Formats: sequence, structure tokens, C-alpha cells
Amino acid sequence: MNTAGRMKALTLAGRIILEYGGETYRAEDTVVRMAQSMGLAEPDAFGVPSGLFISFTDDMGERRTTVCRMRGRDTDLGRVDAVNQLSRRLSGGQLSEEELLDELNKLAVPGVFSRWHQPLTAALTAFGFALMFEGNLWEMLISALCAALTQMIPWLLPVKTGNMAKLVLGSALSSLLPMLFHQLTGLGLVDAMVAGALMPLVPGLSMTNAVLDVVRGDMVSGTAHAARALLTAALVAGGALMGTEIFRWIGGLL
Amino acid sequence: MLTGLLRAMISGFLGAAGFGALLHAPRKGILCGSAIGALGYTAYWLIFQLTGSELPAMFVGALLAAVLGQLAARKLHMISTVFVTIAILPLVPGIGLFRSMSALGQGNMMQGANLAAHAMSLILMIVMGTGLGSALFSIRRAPAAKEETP
Repeated sequence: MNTAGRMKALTLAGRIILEYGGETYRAEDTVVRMAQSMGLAEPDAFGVPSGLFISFTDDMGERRTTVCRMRGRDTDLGRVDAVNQLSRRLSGGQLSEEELLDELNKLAVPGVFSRWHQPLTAALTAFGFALMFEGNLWEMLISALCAALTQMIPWLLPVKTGNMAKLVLGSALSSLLPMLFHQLTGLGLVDAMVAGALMPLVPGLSMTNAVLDVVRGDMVSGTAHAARALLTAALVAGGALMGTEIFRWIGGLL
Repeated sequence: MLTGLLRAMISGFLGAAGFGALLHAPRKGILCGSAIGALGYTAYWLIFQLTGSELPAMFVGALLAAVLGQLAARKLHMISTVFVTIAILPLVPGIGLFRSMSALGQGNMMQGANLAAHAMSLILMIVMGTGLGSALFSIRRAPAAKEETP
């Protein structure tokens, strides 16, 4: 494979890891290991959550560098793990460079998941957490319903708003609906229903990435992930507050 | 006690499994990560019930989840993020955070601030436990010495 092909493979590997929820140190580490397996001299990688720089020295002794800006961000840990597996197979000699590029090209294509995957898995998460928070059948069902509805919010919005609208509107809905349900029927523990429904929105991945990046000494990326986790938590908390306030307005009318 | 223990294990497993699927984690990772999450949460619950000290209980639960997550990643040749992320989620004090927001929303500023501070201390314990558990496994082979860049 020529230098351009190798650079493309390295960039794709780093891009998939960063864009689908991997830690920054993992993207850097995987790129350098892949480059070493390809026999490239002096490989180096520097990543932040929004970009990746890759350098190596080619066969002619020239230093090659590329800069890759990460724009979209989704979560698919299966893909991050798949890139890691490819890196292992490449270093073990079980994969050629051409096969590697083919596999990476396939992984880079946005996945086609069922439209109902997010609502159903969020419902399962909320179902479990409502049980954890001392809830019984009603709490579990209402929590699951709220969590599923939260994941459907982007379907109803006329423009693509990213995660922000989903977090604020979803958490508002997740606190408002259980309160209304309790007010109208007298059934269910409000705390268990709301907290269970909010759990799928918790920034667990950003929190883990922040800790793992800091543990590896990458303070810049660790801080960026921590800031993302804090912002997400603040949006969820703000949405829940909004839901509580709306309930106070309309609760008196019921 | 036994009912509480069973509830902790089942709910920890279900919550973690759902979250793993939400993150599109591989199936093997979801099963193993959820089992580790259930163990971590059960350890937290048990220690809290026996000692009444929530902060140390949370630290031990997070440490256990992180250590087992890292071990599972090595054993199954998968990335540790899958296991650690899924396993620590059951420990996140979601109900404490909601109660603090609820108190603030009702104008009970002192109670809201107290609950928020307590929830933040618990999150700090999770971060410390996860950090320590992962740091124990971060000692790796030193990379090959770099040559000078021309």
C-alpha cells in the first residue's frame, strides 16, 4: 500500500474511535500501534476530542502529517471495539493493510439501526433503575414510557438540533409526566419514576472517558470530557427543574 | 435484607444492560459489563446497609466495578471503556440529584444545596474509585524509544 493509503487507514481508525465515543488516549495509541505494525518510521499522534493530528516519516525520509477535524459525534462502542480488534489483528499479522482499509471503510459508514433501538433500550434502562429506586410495577412502567418518549423527541423536531434539545425537553417531560400521573391517579412514587426515567440521560460515557483520559495523563482531553459531562448533567438538571415548574403551574388547575 | 439484596442485583443488572445497549456496546460486553455493574452496586448497597456510611460504600463499589471491568477487558480482549462505563452507571446517584433539583424547584434552597452537595460527594467517590481502579491497570509496556525527528 502506498503512503496515501496508509495515511487514510490511520486517519479512519482515529476518526472512528473519536467520533463514536472512544477515549482520546485510545485513538492516539491505536494510530501509533497501527503505524508501527505497518513499518512506518517515527509515528506520532496527538488527539483532542475534536481533532486528531497524525505524523510519520515515509520511505523517502519525508515527514508526512495530516490533520483531521471531528465534526459529528455519535455513540457506538461496538465500532470503537471493532477498530481495536482490527489493530490487534494487524499487529498479529492476521490482516493485510489492504484488508485493514477495507474493514475501516465499512466501519466508517453510518450504521443502520432500527428506529426503535434507542427508545426500547432507554425504556429497559429506566425500567431497571425504577426498580432500583424502590419502585414497583407502576413506577417501572411510567419510567420506561418517559425514557422511551425522550428518545423519540428528535423525531418530532422539525430541524436537527443535536443532543441539547433532547436532553432539556426529555428531562422536562420525564419529570412532568410522572408528577401528572401521580396527581391524577394517586399511584406511584414520583421520585422513583422521575429518577428512573432520567438515568438514560446521565453522561456516563463522558464521565468514564474523562477519568480514563486523566488517568493516562491526558489532562486536555480529560478536562474536555469532564466539561461535556458537566454540561450534559446541567442540561438534564435544568430540564427537570423546568418540568417541576411547569407542573406547579398546571398542577393547580387539575 | 434478602429482598433488598435481590432487588439491588436485578435492578443493577437491568439498568446497566439497558444502558449498554443504548451505547451500542457489543453483546458480550453488555452481558459481562452488566454483571459487573450488578456486583458493584450490590457491594455498595451491602456496605451501606451494614455500616451506614454511604461515601466509603460508593468508593468501594466504584473501585470494584473498575477493577473487574479492567480485568474483563483483558480477559475478553475488548476495550475497557465498554465494561467500565456500563458497570459504573448503576452507582450514579440519580435519585439524589433529582431530589436536589426538586427541592430547588420548590424554593427549598438549603435543602436543595445540601442534597446536591451530597450527590456531588458521591459522584466524586465514583470518580476516585474508577480512577484508582483504572490506574492500577494503566502500567503498560513502555513504547519503543523514538528516534529524533529530522
